[in-house]
Amino acid sequence: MKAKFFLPDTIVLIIEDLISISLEFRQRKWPLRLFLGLCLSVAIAPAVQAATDNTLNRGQSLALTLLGLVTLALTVYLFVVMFQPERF
Amino acid sequence: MTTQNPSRSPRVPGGPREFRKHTPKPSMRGLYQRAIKDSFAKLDPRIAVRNPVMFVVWIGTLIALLVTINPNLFGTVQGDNQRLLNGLITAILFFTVLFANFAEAVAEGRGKAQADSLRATRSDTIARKVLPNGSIQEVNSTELRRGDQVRVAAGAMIPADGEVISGIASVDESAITGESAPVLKQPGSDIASSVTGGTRVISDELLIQITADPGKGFIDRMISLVEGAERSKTPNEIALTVLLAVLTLVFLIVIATLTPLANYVQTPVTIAILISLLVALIPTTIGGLLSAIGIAGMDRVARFNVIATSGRAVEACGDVNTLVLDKTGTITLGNRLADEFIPINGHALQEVAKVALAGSIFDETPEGKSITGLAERLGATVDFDRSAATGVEFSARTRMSGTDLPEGREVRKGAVDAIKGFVRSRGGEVSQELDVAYERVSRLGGTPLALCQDNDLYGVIYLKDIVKPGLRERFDQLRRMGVRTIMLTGDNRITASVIAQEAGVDDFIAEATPEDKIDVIRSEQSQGKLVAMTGDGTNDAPALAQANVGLAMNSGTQAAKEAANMVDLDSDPTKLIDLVTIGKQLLITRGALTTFSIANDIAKYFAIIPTIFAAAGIGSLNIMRLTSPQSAILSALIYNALIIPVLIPLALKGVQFRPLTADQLLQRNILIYGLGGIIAPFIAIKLIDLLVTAIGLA
Repeated sequence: MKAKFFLPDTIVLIIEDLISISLEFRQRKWPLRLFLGLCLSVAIAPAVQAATDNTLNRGQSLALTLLGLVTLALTVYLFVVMFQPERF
Repeated sequence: MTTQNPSRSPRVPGGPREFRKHTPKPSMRGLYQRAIKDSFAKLDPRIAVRNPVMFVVWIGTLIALLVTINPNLFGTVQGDNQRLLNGLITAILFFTVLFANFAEAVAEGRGKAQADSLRATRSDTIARKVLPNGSIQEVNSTELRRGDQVRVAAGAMIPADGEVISGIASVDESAITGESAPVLKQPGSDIASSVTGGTRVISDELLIQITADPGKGFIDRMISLVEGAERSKTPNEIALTVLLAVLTLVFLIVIATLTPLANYVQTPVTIAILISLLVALIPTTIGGLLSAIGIAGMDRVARFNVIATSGRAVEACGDVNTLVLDKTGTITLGNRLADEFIPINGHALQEVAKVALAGSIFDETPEGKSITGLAERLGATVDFDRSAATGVEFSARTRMSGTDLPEGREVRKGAVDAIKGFVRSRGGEVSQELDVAYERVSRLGGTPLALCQDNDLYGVIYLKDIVKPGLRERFDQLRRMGVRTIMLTGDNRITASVIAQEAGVDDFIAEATPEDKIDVIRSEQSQGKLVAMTGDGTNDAPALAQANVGLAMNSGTQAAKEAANMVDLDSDPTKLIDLVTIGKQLLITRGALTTFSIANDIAKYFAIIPTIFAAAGIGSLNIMRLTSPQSAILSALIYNALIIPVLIPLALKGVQFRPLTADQLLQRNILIYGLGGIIAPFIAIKLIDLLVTAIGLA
């Protein structure tokens, strides 16, 4: 007879939560995009800080990176408006 | 008929407009309070994202808010009162977005008010549905479906759009058309058998077959259109949106790459100032007013008692190159009246009158009634059993009508060619006298109707046509605007040319059949022209669908209304000329405000750039002598925000229209809105700068 394998309740709950979060992300795209944007900022911020000879502190370089990403997003948005104006 | 008391006169589609009541006046109470509330609701990013220019301003406002909270957020900033300056910039930017939202909300509010007044005419009512076994069941009007039959007695409201199957009754359509005089509805007739839900039967009873399911009736469609529920961007709006997006993108890239340049000339600029510069340079004025101009254009058409199915149709009116107009009812007064009988072939006048009476007793058209009236005035009487006779209706194919008399005789009246054919088919001969009489009437600009009994020609009936007063001047105006007018008529060539000359149309097509309408439209369109036409009958439907602007009469058939992209509630075909004016006004308003908005940029350059980069040696370009960089930025932004509400009335009302050619209009607009757009902000920004400095804001 095969032995049954049981996961602890806490892990089951965590997996369930993760599944529901991933499902939510699929349905709601904006939170996912924001999350990815923040992750990207965290990744780029040290490079920005290094490029400014450390005149900016960590928080400022993170904010500046985010501002750069917002500008980039606006540029993409304006390109979409130019090529698919009927959507707006 | 008297024109002194129009409310008592019978309904005359195309009668004097100044005597007509309007559709229920929309209530504008609470419009501005609602618009203020809606302007905040429109801050929702999902709504804001639809307007690219203002969305960029909105994002800029949020970033400015962040640097107000923490001025050192993006780097350490030197200088005093940074938080106050950033706070002021945030507030001004916020109001810029709010003012743009307000402009759109006011325009939408006016449309909604119009829709509410229409909705008031549509109320659920109890309908008397006829069941298959013939019994009557009382049901709510919302339960009626296409194909159901209902009986509507005097005093009751017609529950839904439909066609009269039997009965004759007077119907009060004032709820829809504003026309106080009731109209006669009866089955069989192309026009008079169509009834609209929400109108009221005021005498007798009708059996009506429902032609529209609940929520899909004429009024329902009108409401959704006026409300803007089905509003989609017009081609010109799309083109302008692309232009604005390009300009915004160019300035965004310029501003984003300005920091290294500013650092190089040792004039570092803060993020708040960069945002201010961006907002001052992108075309916020037209960006904020663009949708309001479009909505207001639709609203103007609706106030004119015309329902447009889309903004595209209204805009197309402004681009129309050719107007195809029916002669009768549009160029001439609808009621052609019999003025004279011209006997031929040796017949006496009394004989002609007697045959004309016999041939018109079943003719219910105004022309037919005027023929019987003239014949009776000449002493003619009916000497046969009316119940044993049969009326022969006019058709576009046969181009004649008449009566089949009890003893087998056939009386016919109609187009001369058609009657000649009829006489020949009965073995008769056509005399030269007919052509002489025909030419005489034609040269007077009248319509000649030949009259015969079997194979014997009796004479010609002179139907007098009167060109509507003031039309010649309107056609002259249209010509100056580059719009060509073509008159279509079933009349012969001589009559058509006389009327065409009198009315001042550019071209005419005589002896036209319904098929000719669609042919002339296609031929004009093949030359790259935009064509507008009016129509009311089922046979007009293909041409109405083919035309770029098809204006159907509300009194017309359902098929015509479905095919057209505009419906005139007053059933006045002359309105097509006014619609061209409204369409042109919409295009001119949009063009004028775009010119003004872009011209404004020049003053803003001179206000902001020289003061910010004074250290780079361009301080001499500060020709306005603005006090400080801070005051220059605040003044330019305040001007930028305030110009939107200042121009809202112009956007809603439209630029005053003058009948000029495209070149003349362009020159005039460049002079007024281009030059004005350069000069006005110089003066306004200087005055705001003095005020800002005086109250110590900068």
